[in-house]
Amino acid sequence: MLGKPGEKVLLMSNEAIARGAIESGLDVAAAYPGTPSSEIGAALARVADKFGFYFEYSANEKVAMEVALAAAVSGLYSMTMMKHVGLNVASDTLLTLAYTGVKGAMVIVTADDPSCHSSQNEQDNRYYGLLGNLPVIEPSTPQECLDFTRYAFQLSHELELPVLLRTTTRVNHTSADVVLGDIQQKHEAKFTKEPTRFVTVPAVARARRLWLLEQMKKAWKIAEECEFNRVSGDGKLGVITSGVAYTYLSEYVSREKLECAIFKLGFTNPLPENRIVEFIKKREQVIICEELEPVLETRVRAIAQKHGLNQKIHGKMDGYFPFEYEFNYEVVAKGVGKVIGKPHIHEKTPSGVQVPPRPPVLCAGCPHRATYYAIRKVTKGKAIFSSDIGCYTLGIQPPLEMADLLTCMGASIGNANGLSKVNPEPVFAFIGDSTFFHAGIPALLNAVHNGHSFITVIMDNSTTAMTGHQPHPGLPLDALGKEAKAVSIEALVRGCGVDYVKVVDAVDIPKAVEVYREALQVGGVRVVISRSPCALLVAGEKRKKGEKIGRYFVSQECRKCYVCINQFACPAFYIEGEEVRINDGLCLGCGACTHVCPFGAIKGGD
Amino acid sequence: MNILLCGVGGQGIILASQVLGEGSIKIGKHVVISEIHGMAQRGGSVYTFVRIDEGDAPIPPHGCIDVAVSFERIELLRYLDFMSGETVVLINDAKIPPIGVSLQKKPYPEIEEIVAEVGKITAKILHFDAEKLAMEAGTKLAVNSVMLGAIAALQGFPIPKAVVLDTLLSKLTEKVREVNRKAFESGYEVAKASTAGHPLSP
Repeated sequence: MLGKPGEKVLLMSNEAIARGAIESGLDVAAAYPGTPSSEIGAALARVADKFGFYFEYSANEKVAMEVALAAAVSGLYSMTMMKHVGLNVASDTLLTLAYTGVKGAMVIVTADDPSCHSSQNEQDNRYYGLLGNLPVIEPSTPQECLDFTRYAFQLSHELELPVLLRTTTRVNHTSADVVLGDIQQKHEAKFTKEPTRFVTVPAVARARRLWLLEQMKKAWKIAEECEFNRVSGDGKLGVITSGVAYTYLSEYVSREKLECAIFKLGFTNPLPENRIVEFIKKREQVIICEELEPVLETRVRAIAQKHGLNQKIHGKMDGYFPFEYEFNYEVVAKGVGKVIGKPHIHEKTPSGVQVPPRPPVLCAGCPHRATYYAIRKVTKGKAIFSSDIGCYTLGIQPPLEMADLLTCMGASIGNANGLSKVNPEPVFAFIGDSTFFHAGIPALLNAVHNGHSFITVIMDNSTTAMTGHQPHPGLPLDALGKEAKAVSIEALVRGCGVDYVKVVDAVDIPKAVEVYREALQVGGVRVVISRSPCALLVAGEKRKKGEKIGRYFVSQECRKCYVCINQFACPAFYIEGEEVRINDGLCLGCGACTHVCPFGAIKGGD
Repeated sequence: MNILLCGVGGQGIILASQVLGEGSIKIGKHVVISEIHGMAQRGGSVYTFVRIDEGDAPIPPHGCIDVAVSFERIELLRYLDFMSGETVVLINDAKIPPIGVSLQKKPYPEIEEIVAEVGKITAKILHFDAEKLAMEAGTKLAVNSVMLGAIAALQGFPIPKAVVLDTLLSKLTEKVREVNRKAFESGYEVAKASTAGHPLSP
């Protein structure tokens, strides 16, 4: 990332996006972390001081977008980046931001997650470009991530519109050799009052709507000329494609020595309509090859209809490609093969040996396991568990099974409002510290004001763990590791009007059990802050300081009741023959299991 | 060349992939590495593809892997679709049983069963206890260095041993360099001894 212009270095696409922004003279960036976009923020945080731009982790995506918006209307070059569902949170800002536009430049990275590798849905955010009248740029490779980010900044400045840079997991998390470019000057901030542009009262909004439509006409002209919309090859068969699908298609075409023309689109909203017409006219058949929704296909079909073209068009809508999940070579080969009458068959090779599944589980030493274990002990599972987005969602796995409903960030508390109103069982809402700051607060004060009755457990592990340990407003450090004011969760909860607030040490299971037992006896909105830092952070700190991690082992006193495995299920435990053992490569020395063993057989820790 | 690295989160597979990626660039090759890191920080299945001079697609076609490296004994069994009779296979015998195995009291596959299963696809298999070698070098955490050493020893492997080793060491702190150098060399020796006059060549 820090190399010189012209140098070739190994970069993950997310780092390439960060580098592309820096090369464009990035002044301000803000983000809330979310897979698969998180490494962009991590990369920027590492070099913000060196290059002299401002970077922050914001409380949520909406705030992040507003920080970037404000910089861009003040004449600066800004970027915000988020996972696909993060853009839902920021969409209120986005769709009016298009009306005011920007003065400097603003790039919004939306990282979609086909196959839901680490997400709760599979939405295709190219639709936001159509919904909001915003230009959309889609890179396919790490080099394109750098080049297209630079282009997106230029385009944004030229059109005075924010530009969506749309990636998918497989693009974000691919690394390759990338050639670095030169670094442009940063910009001067100057806010000029222009209420007829920036204050979107109805009269202004009506006028700006016309402006926006005009800008998108200009964007169309640019898309027609854009070098990132390019045709290669020739033939009676044509394929229109974008994103990572392009890479599989090119490999298929080269392996099969297929005679065809490929129209690779990098600028996908607005579409280069004239060039698409020209492309289709030269073919007998055209295939649209894209992941997720038929965003290109519906529009290419509409363009063909508008221009009276009779060529056959194939895609998802007539069953050649799936709507669901990410593409790979096999999916592309199967779809194209079907069109050209060359069925792609690759025999699957299932393993004859049964392969035990290895689903993601809470880490060894994770304090969330202790929290769940204590609550399961008290409730015996006879309660409704409203879950949220974070590592603790993994409590869904047996034997804990502590997740009954999961929607989106902050919804554990919002859903608990309704669940507790209509169901007789006790209701628990589980939410992490970072997620509570992000979207939990309005739902909590709603519960207080409307008189709902449930227990919110804020599982405070002092970090945003799942996305790679980013800080949040509850910590005394900011994105760059500098001192920051920590916002107290207790004070915040009390400020929301909650009277019943308890703090427990998650790992001290016996004490926690007492607190949950007591909380169940009272009504109203109750908040228990279950606190213990992420085990990976603790172990990392100890390693850094050269301190020993005090691991545990199972002593002779073990009576093989297997409670540690059957009910607690820390992945450091395993059975060898009849014996229970602890894998000392996995044990992080939290000691929670010593409270779980009824015979005191688990020893060590020093 | 298409390489598959697979194992369990926390085994250093991503780092090993980066070493092969940077090594490829040092010898002037185009390289594409694909990794998926989703939910779990640790304990979940992890796999990466390293594609050297094979275009831009992050996932190779089925049946196209030249070198498949399993950092844990069972993990490779999840990716048999990608293998062929030409695939060279390196397996670490060590086991990391997922908690589900203990919960359901299921047996964990024996290394002989695994080798027999993979053997139905390719004869070019080398398996050894990389964890033991790593521990002899000084730490269990150096399994990835052992495996990298073994990869570097394969006949016809495009990145020279010295380049792989130097790249690896450049990514480690001074404190752990010596241990990892030892681990790398021990993996190299094991694979070198087994590949001499043996069909273990890509």
